[in-house]
Amino acid sequence: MYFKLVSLFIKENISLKRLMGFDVKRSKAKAIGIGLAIIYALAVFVGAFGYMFFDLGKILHDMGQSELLLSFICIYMLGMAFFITLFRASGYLFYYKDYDILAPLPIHPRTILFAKMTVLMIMLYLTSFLFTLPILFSYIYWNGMTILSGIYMVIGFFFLPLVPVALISFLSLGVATLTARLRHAKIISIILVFVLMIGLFMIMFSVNEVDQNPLTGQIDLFKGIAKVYLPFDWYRIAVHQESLPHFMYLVLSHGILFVLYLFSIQGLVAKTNQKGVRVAMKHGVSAIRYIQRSPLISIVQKEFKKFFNSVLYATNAGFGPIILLVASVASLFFQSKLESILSEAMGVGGLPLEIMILLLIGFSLAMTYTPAISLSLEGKQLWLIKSLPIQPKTVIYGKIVFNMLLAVPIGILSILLFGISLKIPVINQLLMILLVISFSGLISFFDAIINLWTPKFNFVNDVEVIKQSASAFLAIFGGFAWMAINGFVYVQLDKYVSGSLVFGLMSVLNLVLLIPLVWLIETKTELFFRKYQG
Amino acid sequence: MLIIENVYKSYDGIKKACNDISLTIEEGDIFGFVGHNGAGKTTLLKSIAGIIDFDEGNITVSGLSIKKEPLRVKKMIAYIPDNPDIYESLTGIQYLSFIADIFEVSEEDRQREIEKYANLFEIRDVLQNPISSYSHGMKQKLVIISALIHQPKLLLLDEPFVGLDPKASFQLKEIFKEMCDQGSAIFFSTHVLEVVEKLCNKVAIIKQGKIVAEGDTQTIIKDQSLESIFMEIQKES
Repeated sequence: MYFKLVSLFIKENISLKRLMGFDVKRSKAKAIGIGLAIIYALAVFVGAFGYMFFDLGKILHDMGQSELLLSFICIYMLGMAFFITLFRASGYLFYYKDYDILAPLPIHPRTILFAKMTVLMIMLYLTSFLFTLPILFSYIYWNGMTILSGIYMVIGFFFLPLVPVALISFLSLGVATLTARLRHAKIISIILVFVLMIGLFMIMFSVNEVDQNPLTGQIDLFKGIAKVYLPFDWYRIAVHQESLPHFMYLVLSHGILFVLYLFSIQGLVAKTNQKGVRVAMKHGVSAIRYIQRSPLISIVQKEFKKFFNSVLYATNAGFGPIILLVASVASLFFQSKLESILSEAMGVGGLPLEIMILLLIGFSLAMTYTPAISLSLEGKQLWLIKSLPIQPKTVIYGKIVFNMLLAVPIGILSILLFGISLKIPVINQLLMILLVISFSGLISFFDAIINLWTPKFNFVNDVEVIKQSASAFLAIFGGFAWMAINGFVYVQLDKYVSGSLVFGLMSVLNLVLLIPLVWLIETKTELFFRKYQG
Repeated sequence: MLIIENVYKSYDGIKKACNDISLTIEEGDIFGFVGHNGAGKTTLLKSIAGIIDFDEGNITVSGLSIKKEPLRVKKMIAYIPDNPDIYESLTGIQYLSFIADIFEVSEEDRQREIEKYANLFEIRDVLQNPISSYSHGMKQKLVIISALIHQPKLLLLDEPFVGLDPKASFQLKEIFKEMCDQGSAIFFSTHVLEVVEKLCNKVAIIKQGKIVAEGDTQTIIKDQSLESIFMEIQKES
C-alpha cells in the first residue's frame, strides 16, 4: 500500500505531465521546444555555478582545504531543506488537500504519512542534487574519490537533511496556522519570509574583495557553521577521511531522530488535517461600498488581491522588486562601499556604476514573472474568465499591467535613490527610467506569451505553477536572455555613443522588440484561449 | 432565444461528446436537460457559454452566433457551473463587484441586485468574509447571485440544485419562474427528475451525446413519470 501511495503521489506531484502542464506525447513540438529551453537554462546554471565552484575548488585545493567543499554541499542542502520544507510541509503533512479522499479509505494513517513524507523528501533530494551537482563535481575533480568515500557521500547525502526537515516542518505548520487565524497574517507572513530571504541573501554574498570569486567570501562563514552544527562536520570528515565512526554518528543520529519524529507527529498530523485550515472571519455586518470600475482595472485589482493573498506567490514572484528596494535604500547608507558591494553581489567588476545598477534592476524585473504564471493560476476558475463577456486579450493585458505596476514603481524609486547616493545626472536618471519601463514592458509581454503557450491549469498546489512549471522556468531564464541582449547592445553602442544616450537607444530597441510581442497578444490570444478546456 | 443546430463535439477525435445536437429554447422557457453521467450535458452547456469550442454546427442566442460574436452573446447570458470554483482570495462582495465590473453594471443596479439576492439567499452577513471560508452551498449561492446581477436573458445552469439547502432551492425555482415571466429563458441540467417534471415546460434527454427525446414536458411524460421514461430510454441499446 505504501508503494502504491508513493507512486500515486509522485504522479500527482512530480510526473512529467504535471511538471510540464501538458501531455508530452501529444504535443511533441512543444515538448521539444521546452526541452531545448530547459537544456539552455540548465547549461546556463551548471555553467555559471560549475565554473564558480570549479574555481573555488582550485583555490581550496591550493590552500589544502578542499574538503570545505563538502561543507558547501551541507549548507546548500540545508538552504534547500529550509525553503522546500517551509513552503511545502504544511500542505504535504499537516493540511493536505486530499485528506477527505484518503481518510475514509482503509489505509493506516501512518502509511499515508510515510508516503507523503517520502514524496516531500524525493522533491528535496532532486532539487538538492541539482544545486549541489557543481560542488560534487568540483570536489571529485580536485580530490578524486574512493568507493568507500563515494558510499559515505551518497548515503550521508540522504541522511543530512532529515533533522532540519523535521524542525522546519514545525515552523511551516506555525506559519500556516498563523496565516489562517489572523486577518492580515498573510501580509505579516510575506514580510517575515522576505526578511528571512534577504538575510540569507546577505549572508550568501557577504562582502568580499572585488575581482575575487564571490564564493570565497563564504568560506569562513561556512567553516564556522560546520563547527557549530556538528553533523556537517561529521559528513565532511566521514567522506573526506573515510571515517566510519563519523559516518555512523550522522546516520544513526539523524536516522533515529527522524524515525522518532515521524512516529511522534502522527497524532498531530491527524489532528491538524481533521481540523482543516480555518480562515479568519470578519464579525458583524458593516456597510458595503459599491464602486463601478472598468473591466481592466477590476482585473488588475483582482490580480493584486490574489498576489498578496498567497505567501508563496508574493515571495517568489515579488522577490525581485523587494531586493531592489532594500538595495536602493541601503545605498543611501553605504555610498562609499556601493561599488564593491554591487561588484560582489553580481560577480562582475570594472563596469560603470550606472550599468551595475541597471543590471541589478534588470535582474529584479526578470525575477518579477507574474504574467508567466497568473494565467495558469486561474486553474479551476478558468471557466469563469471564459464565460465572461471580456476579450481574452483584456485578461492578459490586466496581468501585464499588474506586473508592471508591481515592478516599475520600485524600479523608478530605486533609480532615484541610487541617483541620490551616486549623484547620477538627472538626464541620465530619466533615460534610465525610460529603459526600465521599456524593459519591464518587454519582459511582461514575453512572460504573458510564455504562459499562453505553456499554461498549466491542472494542479493541486499553487507551488506547482509558481515554482515548478515550465512557464515559470522559461520566463526567468528568458528574462535573463533579454538582459543579455540588452547587454550586448550596450557593449556595441558604447563604442560609438556617449553613455547616457545609449540608454535612450536601448529603450528604443526594447520598444521595437516589443512590437511583435504586442502583435502576438493582439492576434493570437483568442486562438490560445479557444484551445483551453475550461 | 437559443438555437442549437447540429452541434458536434469530440475531445479525442473518436468519441462524440455531442453528436448532432439540435435544440430550440424560446423566451419564457424553463428547459430541463437530463442524461446519465458523461452523456454530454456539461459539454453542451459549456459550448453554449463559449467556454469550449465545438467542432461543427451552430449555436445562436437572439440571432447572434457564439462563435462569431462571443462577447455580445456572453453579455446576454450567465453560466453557473456544476462546481462553484471561484476566486478564494477575494471576499464575497469583491467577487460580486468583479463580475459586476465585467458586465459594466452601474453602481445603483449592482447595489439593488446584490442586496436583493444576498438577503434572499441569506448570505448578506458573510459577503465581507473571504470566499475560502464559505461552505459549498454558500459558494453556490454566491455564484448564483453573480449570474443574476446583470439580469441575463438566458441563464445556463449545470446541476444548480446540488449543495443548496431546501429553502435556497425553493428560492431559486421562484427566481426561475420570475425571470421567465419577464421574458428570459432558463436552460439547466439536472439529475433530479421531479424538479424537471414540476418546473420545466420543456425537456430534453441526452444519451451518449445524442438527443433521444425532446419536447414539451407534458407531451413527453404523457401519463407516466419522467423517471420511468428516462429508465426506458437508458435500457434501449
